[in-house]
Amino acid sequence: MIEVFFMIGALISLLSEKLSILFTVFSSLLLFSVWNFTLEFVITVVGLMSLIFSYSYLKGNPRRKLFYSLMYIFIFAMLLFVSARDWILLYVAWELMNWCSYFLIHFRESSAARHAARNALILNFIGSLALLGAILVYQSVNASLSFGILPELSLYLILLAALIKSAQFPFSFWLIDAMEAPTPASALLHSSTMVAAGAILVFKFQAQMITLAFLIKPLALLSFFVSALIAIKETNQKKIMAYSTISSVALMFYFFDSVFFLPIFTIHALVKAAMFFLIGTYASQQDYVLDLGLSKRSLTSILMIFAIASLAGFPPLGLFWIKAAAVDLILGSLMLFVTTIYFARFYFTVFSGGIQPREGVGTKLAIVSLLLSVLFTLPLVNLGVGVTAAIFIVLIPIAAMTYHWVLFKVVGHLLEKLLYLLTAFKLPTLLVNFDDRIYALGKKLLVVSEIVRTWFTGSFRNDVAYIAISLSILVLGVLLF
Amino acid sequence: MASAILVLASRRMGILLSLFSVALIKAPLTFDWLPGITFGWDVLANFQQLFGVFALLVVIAILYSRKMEAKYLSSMMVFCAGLLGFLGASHPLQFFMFLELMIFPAFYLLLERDPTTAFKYFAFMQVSSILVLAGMISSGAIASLLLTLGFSIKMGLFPLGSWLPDAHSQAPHPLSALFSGALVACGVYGLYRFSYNFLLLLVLAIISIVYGAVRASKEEDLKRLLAYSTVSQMGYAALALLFAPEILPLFLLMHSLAKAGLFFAAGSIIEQTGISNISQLSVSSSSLTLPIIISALSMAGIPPLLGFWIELTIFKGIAAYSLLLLMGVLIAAAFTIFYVERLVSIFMRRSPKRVEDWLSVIPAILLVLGVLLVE
Repeated sequence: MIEVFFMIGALISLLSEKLSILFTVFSSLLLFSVWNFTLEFVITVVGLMSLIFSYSYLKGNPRRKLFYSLMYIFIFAMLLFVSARDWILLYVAWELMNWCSYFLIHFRESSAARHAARNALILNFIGSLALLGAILVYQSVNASLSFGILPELSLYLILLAALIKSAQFPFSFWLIDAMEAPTPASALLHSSTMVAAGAILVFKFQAQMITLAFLIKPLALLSFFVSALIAIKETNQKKIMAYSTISSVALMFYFFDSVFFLPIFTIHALVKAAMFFLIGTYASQQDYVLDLGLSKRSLTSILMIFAIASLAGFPPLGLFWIKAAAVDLILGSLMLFVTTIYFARFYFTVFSGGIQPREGVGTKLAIVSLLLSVLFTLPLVNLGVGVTAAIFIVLIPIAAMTYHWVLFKVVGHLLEKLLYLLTAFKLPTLLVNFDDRIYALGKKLLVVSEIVRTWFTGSFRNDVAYIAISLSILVLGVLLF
Repeated sequence: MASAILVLASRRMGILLSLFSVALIKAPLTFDWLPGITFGWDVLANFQQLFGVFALLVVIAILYSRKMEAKYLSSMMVFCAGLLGFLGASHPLQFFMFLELMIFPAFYLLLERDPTTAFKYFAFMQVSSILVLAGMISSGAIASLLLTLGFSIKMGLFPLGSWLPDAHSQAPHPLSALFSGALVACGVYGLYRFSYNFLLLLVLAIISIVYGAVRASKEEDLKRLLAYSTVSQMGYAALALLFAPEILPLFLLMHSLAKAGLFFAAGSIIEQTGISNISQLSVSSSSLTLPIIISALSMAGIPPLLGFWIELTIFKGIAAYSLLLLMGVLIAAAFTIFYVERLVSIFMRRSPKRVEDWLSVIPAILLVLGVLLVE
């Protein structure tokens, strides 16, 4: 029901901006109708917050009505996707999300935006075709289009579609480029909801996807570490957020068959949206460069610390409970380690001076979003860590302050010093430019991704290429007889 | 036909008469010509809607070309008469007659623009007609082979139909819309009415899908891009014919509406901006934006547009036949998005030029309503 409501919202927002603001407020009252279903609830909440943020972000832009309308359609598609009960509806929603994302990335009309939108669309279209193939294979076996037992080929195709949609390892470039979109769109589509759609798809069919766990889990770990390592060297704030999204979604893939999926999705969606709201408020004027010299003694800084701690998994916030309960010690600490490195660098480069950051609607929304994430964290205490950890819950406000003064200053600086030392030792073979080496390693791992990228963007001038493609498909056709 | 002659005398009278005759065209008409041969008017039941669309496209094309010189307008009308006659023909000889009727006027129209293309078109069409005629009078496997070759030339399937991109891009805009919307569909219709060679058509279809899409994705000229997309789409039409013949009329209807709409719109864009290079085009329009986006997305098979339901039926047919072939076709289908995206992106660039043209909205409206035809 609520999906249809957002479709109406799309139409209204084309007509008048004021009406659509009213409509957003009104539809947030409707939230209670989805109270019982986590996915729909989170999508609706983050969607509405992004809409409210975009009203202030796009003030005065002549094409803003189109933007609101696309956002409404996207929320509609995403809700349709999670509540779909048969394949066709699911596919329609899947494809609708692609096109919303395309038009939203394209919104600024710069040439970088154009290329980003084109890459995202083409790659996602291929993912859609993989999903369509899975549906057709399923249909040819079961002669029905409602959900049921999937054949093995379908499972592989669904996994491919999900990996592309979630920008996992070899396909991650589209998401990084997609950061050209206006920040409210990035907050909603390219971090919290649409990118997670692939993981949600795998989660939806977890009972059968479990046979592919041998493939999904290593791929997820690979995505997690590659993206986290590349994020260390990135210089654009939004792109760092994109890499962090990829690694968080990889975590969702890793836990696709456990009870931890929904908590990760929820906390990540709320916290990441909050981070985008903050970044969109204080850095949109400076083109999202890293060296802003903002003051550490500000509301924005505290909120950012809080968000980072939630995502990186420091006790007692957010993902800590999941990591503590589900991942084994070595893997968990490694994850914590790499996440902390890039987030520490991010934080200490941005908040390195004395300028008070801009605050606005985005800051308030971030507070709401982070509070909600804490609300969702509370039940996680039951996950198995025990009473000792529960004590931390009482200390959340104090802990936030502690992180601000102690943990980041000490641990973060220690980590930076560690990297620095490793560089300073200048060991001739292995450890020279440790962080550069990590970066180079990540880049090497991304070679596959780069090949795919050049394949899309590079030119096919040579006619030989056409003939080769035609011939290969011809051979395929002939082989059938 | 009569109006074609009349237009030489009086332009306005001719246009009126031609529109009038299109309105009357559904009237039953049968006459015995030679003993044993009856020429009649016989549109297949499931092609009625397609025929209606053809008639509509003819009307729009004639309205677009109303400012042409009388002799060209007259040729245009003869071409339209051949087009409508072909769909309504009931006797093999009648088919052949209408095929021939379409060749000369289009040749004449092309000759004015670009003689080389015109002669290329003429040669290809004559070879096609001869093959079709030979196929009609022979029988058995030879007949289906000849017919497949002949009609494939007409459809523009890759190695055989190299006339198509040249002729489409050089022809006057209304004529290229009819070429792409209707003439190539006649080729598929011919195969549907007579017979075809399964293996040959399958191979040609898959090559065409990939070749057309790859060329279209690198093409700079707007009309040539659309022409190559026609090559690709005709590959799908052939697949529809092979694996899901019940959806073929609907596919042709979708393709005619979408492609003719795109060509009409492209004609207006090129005329009003003077730019035909798609990388430099930047258009802002309240009348053309939605029609072009809808037509392009429908061609790519994006839900919930008509093209998606048709593509789904075709793919279902293929899946029932062979899963391996399905994978091949899906890989081939991935190339479609490359050119569809380029078409859509002309509306999203900086410093756009204003173009308005309300006539080409009609096919897009029908295209959206066409979803209702899906059962």
